[in-house]
Amino acid sequence: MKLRQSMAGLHTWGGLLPSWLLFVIIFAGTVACFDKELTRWMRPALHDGVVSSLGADDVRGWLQQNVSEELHAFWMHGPTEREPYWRLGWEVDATKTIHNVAFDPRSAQAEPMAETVGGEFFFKLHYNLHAGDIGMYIVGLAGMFMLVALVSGVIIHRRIFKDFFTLRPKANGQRAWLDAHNLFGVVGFPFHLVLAYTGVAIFVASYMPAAAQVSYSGNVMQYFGEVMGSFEREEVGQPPPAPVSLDALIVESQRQWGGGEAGWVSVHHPDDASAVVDVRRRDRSRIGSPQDTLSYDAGTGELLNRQDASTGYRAYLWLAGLHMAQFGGTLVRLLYLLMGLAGCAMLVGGLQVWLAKREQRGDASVVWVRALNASVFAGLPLASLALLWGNRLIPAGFAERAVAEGWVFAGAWLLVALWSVLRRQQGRRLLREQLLLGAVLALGLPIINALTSDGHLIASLGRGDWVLASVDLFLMVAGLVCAASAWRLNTTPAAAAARGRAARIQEA
Amino acid sequence: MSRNVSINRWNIASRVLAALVGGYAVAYAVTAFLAVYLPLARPDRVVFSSLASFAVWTAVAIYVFAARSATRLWLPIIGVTAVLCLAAFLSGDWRVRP
Amino acid sequence: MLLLAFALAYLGMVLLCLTMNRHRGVLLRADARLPGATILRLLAAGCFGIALWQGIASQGGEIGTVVWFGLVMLSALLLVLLLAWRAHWVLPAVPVLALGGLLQGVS
Repeated sequence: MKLRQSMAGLHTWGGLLPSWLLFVIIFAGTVACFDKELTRWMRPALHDGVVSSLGADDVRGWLQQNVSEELHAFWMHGPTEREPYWRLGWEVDATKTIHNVAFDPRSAQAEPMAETVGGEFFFKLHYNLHAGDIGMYIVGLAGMFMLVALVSGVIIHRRIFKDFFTLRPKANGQRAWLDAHNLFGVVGFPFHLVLAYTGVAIFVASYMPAAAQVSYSGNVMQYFGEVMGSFEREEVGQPPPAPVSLDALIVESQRQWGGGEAGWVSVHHPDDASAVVDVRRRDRSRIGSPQDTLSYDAGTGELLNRQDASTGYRAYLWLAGLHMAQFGGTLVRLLYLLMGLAGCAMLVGGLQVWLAKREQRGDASVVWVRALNASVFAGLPLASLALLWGNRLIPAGFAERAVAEGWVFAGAWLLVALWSVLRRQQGRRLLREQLLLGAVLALGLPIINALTSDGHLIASLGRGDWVLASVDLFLMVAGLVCAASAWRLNTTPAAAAARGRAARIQEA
Repeated sequence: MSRNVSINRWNIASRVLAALVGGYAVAYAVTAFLAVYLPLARPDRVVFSSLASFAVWTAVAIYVFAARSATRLWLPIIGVTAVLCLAAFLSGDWRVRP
Repeated sequence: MLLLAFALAYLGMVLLCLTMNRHRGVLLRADARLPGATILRLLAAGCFGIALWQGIASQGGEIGTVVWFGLVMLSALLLVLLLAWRAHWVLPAVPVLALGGLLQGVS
């Protein structure tokens, strides 16, 4: 009995305090399931589904012509079914800044596309909140809170199996929300637990350096080299010979693997005689692809090393792969998306239980919590929609276009937060108006997409391009759900409240 | 009455601190210990012990809030951390064996 | 997309649901006759088992198991949402899903 009480306290406060942050993380992660599809939508140059015919050497040629600084490394990835274009990134020597370019697949020469944050925006928001290393640690701590909340939640739940199928929307507020919180928590428990654990495990080397400190005496390079079985060589300070063709190395790698596709191709200290080309294998048929990277001398093309990852690293890759859902195609991503939405619903339900309990006691301070709820649970989806609007309305030639998109997102979120605080005393009306705004923003996006690009819904459906069409279709469905919820909230005051909130998290 | 409230406040502060800092310390110590004493090759010892650390931290956080006394719960936390850390870091060359 | 496996998982969940008096009264008339709870549970386990086998057969061991977990969780969510708002759709949904799965298998 005593145990249950103390666990209830832990679950309530340990779950409540990080819940807004966890909502941001889980929502962003849910959207990031389809980040590459979203990127395609956000780049009109990719709308007609042309696959790039460029080669790795064309991409390197562009880099040599357009970037004159000495590079620490550069890396590139060829076209795939989800990303039919070349991507290039590089790091200038002695700086930590990374530059990224994506090349227009329709062009016969290497020609960069208009800048955009792309769907990767949500991926980054998911793992570091766009706040660098500090954000990564904050997200990790939130993940630990989630693990503790999940375990303590199981301990305090009296009737996990008896109430498994129970949801009573017509019961009083607290009861109904507790049912909903339990439903999404218990049914989704395996998913939430595995995703929380594998999520914190991805950055294990940063979060828990103990083992490397003791067993490698803190020698990080040796640690990574030995664990991953990767190859590294020191710079010699001499100019490099003429580089061997990267395309030839890719073909050679495919021969070495006995078939299979190449993924990332990276060149380390390319302006030195010690330059090394790494060709990494891309394997989507397994949860943790083995990453047998081949390392070549950039000047002679001689094979220097074949990556032989340790068992531990393979286990780590399996866990990380389970989290990132890059296997199993659209089906797995769809399952993760739906379960992620269930996670969002669990958080919203839990907060509503907390609120309903305090409202019954006549606690006046709950309006502030409601304002915070509205600013996060409505603010983030609305800001995400605003980001897509920004993506379509900011002209292609605009300088620092990606940064501007980020500001549209941040500005929209701040406005919604301000709005929620000002209207905190009229929660129902605020919710209804936010739903209406969500409907307008979501339904407007397919239209604005049609006006600003050739990839509108009728064209993409006509080509049978379901990937692109599904983004527009999803936005339309989300908009209609918002509109219907707002309408119901208007007509049947009491019964519709539950529905509106559940639907609200599905926006965007 | 007010004395009870302040005792309660200290009680909770102690437990929160134990869960956050103490939990991390125990997880750190267990990871370091396993990274030395697991009967595996060095890269595997390091990775598996690190991956287990989050389970340890979670378990300590649960224990901290389940324990009866808010002050005596520190005893096992400090004890386990000290013993395991000493065992790990004072194991000489054995800890860096391949 | 493994609709048949989803239908089986859903059927398994419905069978488990029918072992509980609270839900049984909602889904069936009072005089309806059903096998005992143990048999229903065994049948449900069989449904989950076949669904798992289907997942593994189509996606391989690792990925098939992950997909199966997802399908089972989602089938439970669908069942509970239907029970709460559209209880009279719960039983007809079984043949509809199964038919969809079979059609998908044929095409």
